[in-house]
Amino acid sequence: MATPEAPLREILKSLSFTQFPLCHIDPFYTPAVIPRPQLFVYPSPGITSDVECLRILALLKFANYEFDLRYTNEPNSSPNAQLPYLLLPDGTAIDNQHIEDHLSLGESSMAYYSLAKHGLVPATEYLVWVDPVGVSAFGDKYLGGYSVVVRWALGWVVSERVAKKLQTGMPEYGAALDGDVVYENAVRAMDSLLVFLGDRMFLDGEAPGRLDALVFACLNAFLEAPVKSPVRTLLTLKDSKYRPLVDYVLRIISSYFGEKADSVEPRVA
Amino acid sequence: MYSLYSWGSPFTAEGLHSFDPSCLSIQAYLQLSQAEWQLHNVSSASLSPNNCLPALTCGQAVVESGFWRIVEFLKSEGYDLNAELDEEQQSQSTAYVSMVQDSLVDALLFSWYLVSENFAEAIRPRLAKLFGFPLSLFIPTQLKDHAESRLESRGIHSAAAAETKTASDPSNTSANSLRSKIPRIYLLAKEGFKSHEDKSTNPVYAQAKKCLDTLSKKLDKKEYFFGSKPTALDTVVYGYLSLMLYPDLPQSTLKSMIIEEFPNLSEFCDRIHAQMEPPSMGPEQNWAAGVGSMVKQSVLQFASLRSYSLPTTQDDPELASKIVSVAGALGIFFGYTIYKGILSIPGTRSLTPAAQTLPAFSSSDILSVVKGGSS
Repeated sequence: MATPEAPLREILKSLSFTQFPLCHIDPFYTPAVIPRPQLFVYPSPGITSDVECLRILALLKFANYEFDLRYTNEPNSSPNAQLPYLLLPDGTAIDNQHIEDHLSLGESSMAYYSLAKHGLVPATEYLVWVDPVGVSAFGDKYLGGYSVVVRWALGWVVSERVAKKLQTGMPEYGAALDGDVVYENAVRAMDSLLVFLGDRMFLDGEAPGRLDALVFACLNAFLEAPVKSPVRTLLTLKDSKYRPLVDYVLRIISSYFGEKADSVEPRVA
Repeated sequence: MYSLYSWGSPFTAEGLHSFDPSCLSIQAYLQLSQAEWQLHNVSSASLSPNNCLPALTCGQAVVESGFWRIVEFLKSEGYDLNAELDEEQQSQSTAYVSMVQDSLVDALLFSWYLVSENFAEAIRPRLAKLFGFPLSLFIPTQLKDHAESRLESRGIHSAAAAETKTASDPSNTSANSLRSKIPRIYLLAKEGFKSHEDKSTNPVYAQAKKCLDTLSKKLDKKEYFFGSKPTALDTVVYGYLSLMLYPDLPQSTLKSMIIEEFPNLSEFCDRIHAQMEPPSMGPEQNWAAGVGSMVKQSVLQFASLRSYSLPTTQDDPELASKIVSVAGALGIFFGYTIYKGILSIPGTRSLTPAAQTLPAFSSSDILSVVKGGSS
C-alpha cells in the first residue's frame, strides 16, 4: 500500500523487480570442508613463475602461514577474477589484494616498494604479454586450456589491455609504449635495489618482508622465463655486477622453497 | 642552447610554466643546473619520436624525450645535479623519484580530474583557454579519460569514499538495504541532482599522506633533500608539489594537507619556486599547427598496427628472410603456372605454316556466301 510520504516509491517498487530473484533455493550440496587454507595459483613446473602468484606465495612463506598449494588455470574462480586467491576453511575466498591483511609482516620502505612495483613489474608484464617473443612463449602457459583460435583472440585482447595499462602508467602523458624505456626503467630499479641490498640478507632487514616478496617474484620471473630479455641478459652475464641480486634470489629459493639453488648459471656474454 | 618543448601552462599567473608535472620537473632541472635553454609551449607531442613530452632539442634534432632520458643526456653534457651524491644517495634518489612519479601523482590526477567540482570549475576552463578552439573541445576530456583509466588500473575510483563510508557503518545497514531497492530515478526526483560531492575522504588521499609523510621525514629541516644543494629529486618533488600547492581549486584537499601537516614541504616548494626565473620563450605553436599535428597524431595512431607506439627506426633483423621467403614462394608459384602452361609469357610469334596458307577472306566473299545461304 502506498504510504503518504512516498507514494511513488511503493508504486515504482512494485514495478521494478526489487524482489528479484523471485525465490531462493538452498544449494543441494555443500562444499567439502578443507582442513587448511588453500592458495590457488597458476600451474608451472617447480615454483610458479607468475609474478603475482609468486609474490603472494613468498609472502605466505615469509609469514610462516600454514597453507596448501593448489593449481588452477581459471582466474574467474577468484573473487576479483585474478589469481592467486586464498580459500579459507570457513569457505571465505580472499583475493590477492586482501591477503596481506591476514599476515603479520613488518613495514617495508615505501620508496623502494614503489620503485620495484613501478619499475620491475611493468617490465615483467611487458615481457609476458606485449613483447612478441614473450607472447608466443607464454601464451600456452596462461591460455593453454583454450583452442588455438580462441587462444589467439584472447591473447590479442589481453595483450592490448596490458599494453594500454602500461602506457597509461607511464609518467609522461600520451607517451607511446616503448619496450626500451620499460626495460631501462627496470634496469634503473635494479641498480637502486642492488645498492639498497648491499651486504644484507634481505631488503627488509633481518627477515624478509613485502619488498622482498615483490622483488624476488619479479627477478625470478626474468631468470626463469624461457625467453631472452635485456634484463635476463644483464643478470646472467659472467661477472655481472647484478650477481648479488641473483644470489639473493637463489638464497630465498633455497631457504623458503626447498629447491636446489643451482638453476641459474652465469652465461658468458 | 637547448630548446625544451613542453605542454603549455594555464597557471602562468601562479608562476608555473606547464600543467604537466614531468615538464615542470625538467624545467626546474634546467633552471637549477644553470643550463642555457628556452621554452617552447606546444599543444601536441607529435614532434617527439615516441610521442612524449617533455622533449629536448639541440639545434634542429630532437635529442631526447621523457624525464629520465633528458636527465641522462644533460648528465652527459655536464649538467648533473646528482654529481655530488654517493652511491647510496643515488639509490635513494631513484627510489624517491619513483615514489613521487608513480604513487603521489595519483592523488594529483584524482584531485584535478575525478573531483567533479575541481574539473568543472577550475581545470577544464583553464585548459580550454590554454588550447583554444577547436582543441579545447576534446583535449581536456582526453586528459580526464587518461587520468580515469590510469587511476582505475590502480584500483582508485571516485565513488570509493562514499561506498566505504556507508558500508562500514552498521547503523546504516538497514537504511542502505532499503535505499538500494529504491529505483535511482525516484531518488533523483526526490533528492535532486547533487551538483558536486565532497571527495576529501577518498582513500587516495590517505595514500598520498603516507607519501608526503615519507618525503617530509626525508627532507626534515634541511634546505634540500640531500643537503645544501638541489638534486634531481628536488626538481621532481617541486614539479609535482607545485601543481598541488599553487593552483586554486574549489576542493583543495591536497593543498590543505601539505600546508597544515607538512609545512617543511610547503616551505621547500616556495624556496625552489623563488629560484624559478621566467624562461626565455621560443615561438609558440599556433593553433592551426596544433590542430594539424593533433590530426596527424590521430591518423598515425589509427593507422599503425600497434596503436600505442609510433613506427620506430629500428631495423627488423628478420626482414631479409621474410623478403626471401615471400619472393621464393611467388617465384615457385609463377614458375609452376608457366611450366604447366596456365600462364604464358607474351612475345613475338612467327606465323605457323598452316596459318600462312589459309586464304585471306574479303568482305565481298563473305557477303556472297551469306546471300547464297539465305537464298
